[in-house]
Amino acid sequence: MLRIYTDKKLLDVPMIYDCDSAFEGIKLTNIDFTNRVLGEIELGEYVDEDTFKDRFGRNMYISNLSTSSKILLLASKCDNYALFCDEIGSNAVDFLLECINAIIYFEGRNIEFKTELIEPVSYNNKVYNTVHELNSAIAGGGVYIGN
Amino acid sequence: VFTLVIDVNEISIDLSLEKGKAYVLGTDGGTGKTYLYKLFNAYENFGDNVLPLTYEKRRDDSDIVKRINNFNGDVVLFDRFDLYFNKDFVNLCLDNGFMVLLDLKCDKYINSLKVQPVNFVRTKNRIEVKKW
Repeated sequence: MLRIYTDKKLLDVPMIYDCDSAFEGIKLTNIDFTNRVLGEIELGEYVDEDTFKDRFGRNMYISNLSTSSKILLLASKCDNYALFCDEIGSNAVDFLLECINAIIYFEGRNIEFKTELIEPVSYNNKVYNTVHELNSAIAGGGVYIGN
Repeated sequence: VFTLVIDVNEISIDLSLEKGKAYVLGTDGGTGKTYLYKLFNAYENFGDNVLPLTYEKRRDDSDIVKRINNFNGDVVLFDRFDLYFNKDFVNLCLDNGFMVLLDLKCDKYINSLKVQPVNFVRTKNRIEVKKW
């Protein structure tokens, strides 16, 4: 289950603060999620495990991916560290809902998800079943107050 | 409006903004904010009117203050500022009359500053940053 935190005290795993650096050594996998991140965030496409085509058709090493894409690709693989996600772009936030094993932490962002949940999501250790409930909880600091 | 046009590695960067003001480079990902930092970083080696700063794990605040105080150019760019945000850095830059560009997404930080959004346009050989 995707676990989202805004309360640092509740984290039970170490946190990766600099996701850009943590991405070092990661390889791209040619799967639907990677392709959609590259397509929608970079306006590019997958080439191989070390390179992608950028929005101008140039082959680039994956170290040149945006921080948002690096956070998403890391979140799709990492389930034993919390990822500091304040740096993620507004256009990338909803992709996090697809990272069903990730643990993510926001400190100062007003996050509102736009797409429906794939499966229940934990927010500060309480489980929410719909995006409406989740957004309400996040906006209210963790307490769902209903419609 | 102060205009600075610089060429780095066959990329032209055109900044037409006011000095003494701070601008947020937008909150979407993948637009090229860190790319702009890398270009500035390359340019810094042979130019002296941009100061690019980014997150470094083992650096303390006094080092950034020192770099700002020693800077005599026009533009300061804070890349990945969410990771080392300090309002005093921005105010120090503004007090010195620099144009300040911010890669900053945290709402609470943005709301604590007097900043303006910019139009950030990136093409294959050009980056253009102008007021909305």
